[in-house]
Amino acid sequence: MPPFDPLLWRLAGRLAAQISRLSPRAVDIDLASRSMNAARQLIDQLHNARERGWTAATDHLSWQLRTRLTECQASFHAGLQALSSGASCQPSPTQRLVYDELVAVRAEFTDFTFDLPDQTISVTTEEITLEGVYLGPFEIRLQGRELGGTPYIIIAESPHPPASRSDVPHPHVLGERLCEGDASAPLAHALRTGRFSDYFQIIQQTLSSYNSESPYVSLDAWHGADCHACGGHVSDDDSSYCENCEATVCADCSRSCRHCDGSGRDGSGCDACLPSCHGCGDDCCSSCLKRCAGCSKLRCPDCLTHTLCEACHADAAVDQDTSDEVADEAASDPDATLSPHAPLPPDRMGQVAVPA
Amino acid sequence: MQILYINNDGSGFADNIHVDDGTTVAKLFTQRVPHGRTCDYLIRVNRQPATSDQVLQPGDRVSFTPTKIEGA
Repeated sequence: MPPFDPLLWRLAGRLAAQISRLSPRAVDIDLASRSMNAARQLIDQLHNARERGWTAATDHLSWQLRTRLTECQASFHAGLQALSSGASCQPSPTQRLVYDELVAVRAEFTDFTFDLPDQTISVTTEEITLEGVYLGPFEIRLQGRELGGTPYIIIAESPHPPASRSDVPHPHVLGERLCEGDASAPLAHALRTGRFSDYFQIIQQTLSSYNSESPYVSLDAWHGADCHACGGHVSDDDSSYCENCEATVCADCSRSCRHCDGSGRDGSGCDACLPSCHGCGDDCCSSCLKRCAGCSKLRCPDCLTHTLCEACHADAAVDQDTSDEVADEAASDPDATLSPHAPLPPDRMGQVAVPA
Repeated sequence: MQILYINNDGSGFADNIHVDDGTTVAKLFTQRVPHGRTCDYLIRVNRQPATSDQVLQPGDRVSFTPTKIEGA
């Protein structure tokens, strides 16, 4: 039996009082309203993204919306369960019960600390590795003044986020918030009844589990980055760096000038920044692209012949043929050609037409 | 005899239940989680880890917490 801790006893009293002020109904409504508000905002954002044709944003927002709706669903489910099981009739936890729970939490977890004025309790999980991806230990910090909402935050002790999202320290944690999923209902139940040892244990088990169906970032994509050009995930081995965009791109989006093999000043780049020839469509850097002297459009060296593109060359050839024909006709029938020095043709006998 | 039984699976459950005298942790688990495996749960008696052959006493607090709880 550990020695009696008067400060922990006082904290237990304050937490017990907080819980007694919260009816089960209030807890459930608060949980649902947070998720519903977030879902409403996401619906508006999704609408805007679809209107603008932002495919990647649409996908991401759709996924976030699904997550929020799942939370709403879990919250409603927990509310229904509470009503059907008569949980609302359960007595509030006593100070003694909460104290015993906190003593158990202290025995269960390392780095147990609490702050009486702030009513916070912090524990640290074991080092967590999911499917070979090391994530490190996490601090679970319960904020006793916020028992009516989501009263805890998750803090990565030594963050190992994916390269693509620095705000995702764990597949199911965004910022400092755990997306509870299946843990939502038992957590709400444990909190209502003051079972803090179960509460922290459930959070730890959730952090130690991986749901491949709906992570913020898949563990498969933990190492690597999103391609700057197409938005797809690219592993470290398949990625390359676009110096023009100063970003990572995948192999499919990596480009180099076909005419200088990327040796030019800006001869290499990505799908987003390397220009192409307006004639043949080949990748071509700005150093190799030249303007056609006829139409001024940019063309690669293969599409220019004597500073003209194929179309302008054809036009020039037609013009040349026309000029030649006129010259030939003039040579064979001098009268057929009007020149400033040629006599005006007779308009009427004995008269000469005079221009107005 | 009466014990407090807590199951943190699903939507969570905590209530006082009646069990026969001499009931062990393993027997209670089989009764309450018939399709589960003990290795998939953290089993606590009076907030302490328990062995499967531990005999329950009146007023014990028994909790089953899944080792795998999927976030979303």
